[in-house]
Amino acid sequence: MKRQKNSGDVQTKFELFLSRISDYFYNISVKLHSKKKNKGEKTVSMASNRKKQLVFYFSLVALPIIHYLIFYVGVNINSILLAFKEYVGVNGVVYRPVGFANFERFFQEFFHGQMLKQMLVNSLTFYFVGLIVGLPLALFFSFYIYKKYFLSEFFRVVLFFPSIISSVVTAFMYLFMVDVGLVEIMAKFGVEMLPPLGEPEMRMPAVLFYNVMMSFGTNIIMYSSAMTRIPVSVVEYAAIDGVKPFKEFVSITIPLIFDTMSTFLIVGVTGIFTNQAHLYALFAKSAGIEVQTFGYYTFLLTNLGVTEIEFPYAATLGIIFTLILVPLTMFVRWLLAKINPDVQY
Amino acid sequence: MKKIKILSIVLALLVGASALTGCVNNGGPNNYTGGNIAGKNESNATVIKVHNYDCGYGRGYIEQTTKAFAELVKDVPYEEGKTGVFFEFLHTQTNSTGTWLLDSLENNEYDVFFTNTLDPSLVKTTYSNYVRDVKDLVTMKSTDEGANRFAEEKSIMERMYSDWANFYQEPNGSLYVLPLFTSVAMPIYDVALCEDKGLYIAEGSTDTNLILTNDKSEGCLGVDGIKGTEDDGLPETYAQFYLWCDYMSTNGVTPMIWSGQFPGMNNNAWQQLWADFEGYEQAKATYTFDGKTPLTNLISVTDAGVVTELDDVAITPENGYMAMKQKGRYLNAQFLRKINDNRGKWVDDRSYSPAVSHTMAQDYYISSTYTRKPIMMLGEWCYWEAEATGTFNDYAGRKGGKTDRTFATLPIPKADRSLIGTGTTLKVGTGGTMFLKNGIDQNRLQAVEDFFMYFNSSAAMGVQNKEGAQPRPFDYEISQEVSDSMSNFAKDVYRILHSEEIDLVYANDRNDFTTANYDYISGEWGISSKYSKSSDVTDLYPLKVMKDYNVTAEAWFNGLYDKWTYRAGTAKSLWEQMVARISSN
Repeated sequence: MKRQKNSGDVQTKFELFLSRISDYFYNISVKLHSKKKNKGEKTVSMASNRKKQLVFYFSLVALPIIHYLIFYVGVNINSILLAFKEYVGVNGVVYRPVGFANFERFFQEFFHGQMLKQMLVNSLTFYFVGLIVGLPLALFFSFYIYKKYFLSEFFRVVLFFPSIISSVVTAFMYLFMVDVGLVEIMAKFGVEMLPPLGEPEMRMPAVLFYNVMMSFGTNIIMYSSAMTRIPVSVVEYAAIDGVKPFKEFVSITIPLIFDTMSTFLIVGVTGIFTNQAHLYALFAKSAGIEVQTFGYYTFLLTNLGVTEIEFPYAATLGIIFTLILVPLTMFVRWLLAKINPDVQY
Repeated sequence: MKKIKILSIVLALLVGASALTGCVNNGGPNNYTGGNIAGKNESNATVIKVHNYDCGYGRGYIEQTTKAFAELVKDVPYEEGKTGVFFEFLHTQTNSTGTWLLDSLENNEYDVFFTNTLDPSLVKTTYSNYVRDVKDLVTMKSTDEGANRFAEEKSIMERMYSDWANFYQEPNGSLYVLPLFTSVAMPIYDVALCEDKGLYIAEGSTDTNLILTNDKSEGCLGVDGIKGTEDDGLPETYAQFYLWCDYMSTNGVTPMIWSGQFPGMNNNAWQQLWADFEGYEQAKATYTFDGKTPLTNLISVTDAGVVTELDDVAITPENGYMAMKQKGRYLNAQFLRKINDNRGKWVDDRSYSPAVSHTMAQDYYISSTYTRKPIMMLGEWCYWEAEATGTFNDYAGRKGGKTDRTFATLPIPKADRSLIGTGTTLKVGTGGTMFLKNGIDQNRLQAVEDFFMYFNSSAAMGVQNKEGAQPRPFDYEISQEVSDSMSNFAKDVYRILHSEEIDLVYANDRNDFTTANYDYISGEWGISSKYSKSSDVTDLYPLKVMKDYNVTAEAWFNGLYDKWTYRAGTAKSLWEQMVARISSN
C-alpha cells in the first residue's frame, strides 16, 4: 500500500512536470503560427505537408535501410553465391564456380563419416540441456527475484554479471577456477587431482555447466521483467485464495509470461547450429571432438589460416542449416501457438 | 525530483565520458611515440608512421631500430623546413594481421607495416595496388649509382637466405613483403639446472646406462660427435633421452612442460625429430612437389608396428600425400608416444590443461627454478624469451632476469647411434613480415625508403636479433657489444640458425600447388592426422589424442597419410580437392 501511495505522489508531480513542458512548447508553437499568419503567408496545403512528412520519415530510415540492404541482404546473397564456388588463389583466379560440389562434400562427409554426426549430437546436446536445465532454472530464479525473497537482489546482480563481463574474461575465469583453483583447493585437502578440463570425459559436463551459467543473465532479466507486468491484483487474489508459491508459479506466472517464453524458445531453435557454446573462448582451436559443435566448426573453417580456402564450404553449411531450421522454427512456432494459453491482461 | 534530475545528469555524463575514453593517448591504447621522449614532434621532423602487430616479438626491436635511425638522420632535411624524422607508432593487435590488415590498406594512413606472416602470393595477386614493390630497394648495392645512404656492399636480397628469397621474391624479381624473423620451434632446456643438479650425460654413457655429471667438460660428445661443442653432455639418441627423463623424474626434476591451451607449440618443437632424421633434401622435397628429388625413406606400418619399406617416389602434386609415409614421421610418432606413456613422470600435469596459455607455461617454467621441483624443458617457439620479458623482469631482483638465466635449445637427439655426427636439420619458418604502403607522398618517401634500408641493414639486424630473441633470415654478424648484452638463449638461437653445420628447411615453397593450398601447407601439412580408421575425425595434436584416446604411434603415423587421402563416400579426398585447384588453370 505504501508503495502505491508513494508511486501515486511521484506520478502526480511527474505529470505536472510533463504538462508544464508540453505547455511551454505549445505556447511557442502558437506564437510561431500567429507570427506566420500576421505575415500573410499562405497556408501550407495538405499534400505538400504530407510530402514534407514523407521526406522527413524517409530521411530517418534511409540509413538503417541502406545498412540493412548492404550488411544483411547483400552479405547473405554473397554467402549464398559463395556456396557454389571454390577458392583457387593462383593465376589471378580467386574463386571459380563448382556447382553443388560443396553440398555433395557435406552430405558425403555427414553420412559416411563420424565427425559431423558427433557435432550434430553435441549441438543438440547443448540445446536440450539449455532447454531442460537452463530454462527451468532461469524461470525459477526469475520467480525468486520477482517475489523478492531473501537475497533476491544479490541473485539478480550475480546471475547477470556474466552477461556484463566480456565472455572471454568469464571463460578464462572459469578455466582457472576449474583447472587451477579447484586442483589447488583439493590439494590442500590432500586430494591429488588432474586438471579436469584436461580429461576428455570431464570436458562436456564442464562446458555444459559453463553454458548454463552463462545463459542465466539475459533470460533472468527478460523473464523477471515479464513477471513484473503481471497485474498485482491477480497475485493478491491468489494470495487471498491461499495459493502456494509453487502453484502460483505453475498456474499463474508461467501462463501469463508464456508469450515471452515462446519468443525465447523460438529464438533458441534458430541458434542450434550456430551455437559455439563458448568453445573458442575456452579451448581456442584445440577443443576436442567430444565437445565440438557445428557453430564452433564453422568458425574454425573461417579461421583456418590467412586465405579464404574454406569460406565456400562454410557458406554451404550456413545454407544447409538454414534449410533445416526454417521449417523447424515454423513448426515450433506453430506448436507454441497451439499450446499458448493466450491470456490477455 | 531534484535528486533524480541530478542523478540522471551525473549518469549521462559518465556514459558520455566512457564513450570518449577511446580518444585518450592520441586515439590508441598502445601508442608509443618513439624518437621523442615528450611524445610530440617538437623538432618539426618528417613524420614516419609505423603500424605494428604487437605480438610475441615485442616492440623492442622496432623501438631500438627507430631510435638509432632517428639519431643517424637527425640532421637530414627530408622536407623543406624540417630536419630528421619523427616516428608515430600504432602498436595494436586489432585488425593488424592477414586480410583484416590488407583490406584496410586503401584507407590506412600508415607507411611501414610490421605484421604476421603474410602469404606473398596473396599480397601480390590481390593487394599489390596498396603494397609497394620494393624490388628497387632490396636489389640496391652501395656501389650502384644514386644508391641509398644505407645500402651495403651486398644487397638485401643477396643477404637473404636462399629458401626465403625463393619464397618471397616473384619470378620477375618483385618483392612485396619482407620476412622479419626466422621462426623455429625447439625444445628448450635449462643449462644452469644441468649444472646445479648434475644432469649432464658424461662421456662413457650408452643407450642403456647413463653416467651423470655437473661438469659439461666431462660430458658426452653430443649429437655432432665432436668434443668441446655446445651439445656436449646432452642426449645423443632417443634412448638416452628417455633414460635422461627417467633419471630427472626420480631426482627432483620435472623433465618437461608445455602450454595446454596451445599444444601445437610443443608438437612443432618435437617435429624437429622428423626434419633432422630426413635431412635437408628429403624434407625440402615435401614442399617443392617438383618431382626432382625422390623420397627414399618411405615405409608402411601395420597397426601391430610391422614396418615395410616402400619404393622411392618422386613427389609431385598428384602424389604428394606419399610424403606422409616418411620414416622420420613414424620415428617422431614413436618418440611422442613414449612421452605419453611416461607422462605421469615426465610431464607437468598442467601441460594438459586448456587453462594454461603459452605465457602461463613460460611463467611456470621460468619460476620453477625457485620451487622444489624445477622443470628442465619447455617446448615452444624461440621467441618465447621475448614474450616472457615481464616474468623475467619480475625475477630480476633475484638474479633471475633474462640475462641472468641460461636457457638454450636442446640439440635434437638422433634415432640411433649410427646417425651421430651426420649433421642436424631443422624445420623453420618465418615469424612476421614487413611491407611498405604504396603511394607514400613524395615529400616523405625518401625518409621512409631510408628507414626501410636501415631497418634491413646488417647492423640493425643484430640489434633486432637481440631484442626479438630470434635471428633474421639474412647473413649478418652481431657486434661484440650487442652480443655481450644478449641473453644466453638469444645467442644460442643465433648460433643454431647461423651455423654452417645446421641445415635449415624452410617449411614452404613457392609453386602453384602450395600457393593455391597455402593454409593447408603452412598449417596442417605433416602435423594433422586422421588417427582413427573408424572415424573421419582429425587432430593436430598427437600428445593430446594419445592421452585422451590412447592413440598409438602407428595409428597416428597412418593417420598422417589418411588425413589427405580419405574419401567420404564418393566425395573427393582432401588431396584431390587440393590438386583440382590447379589442374584446370
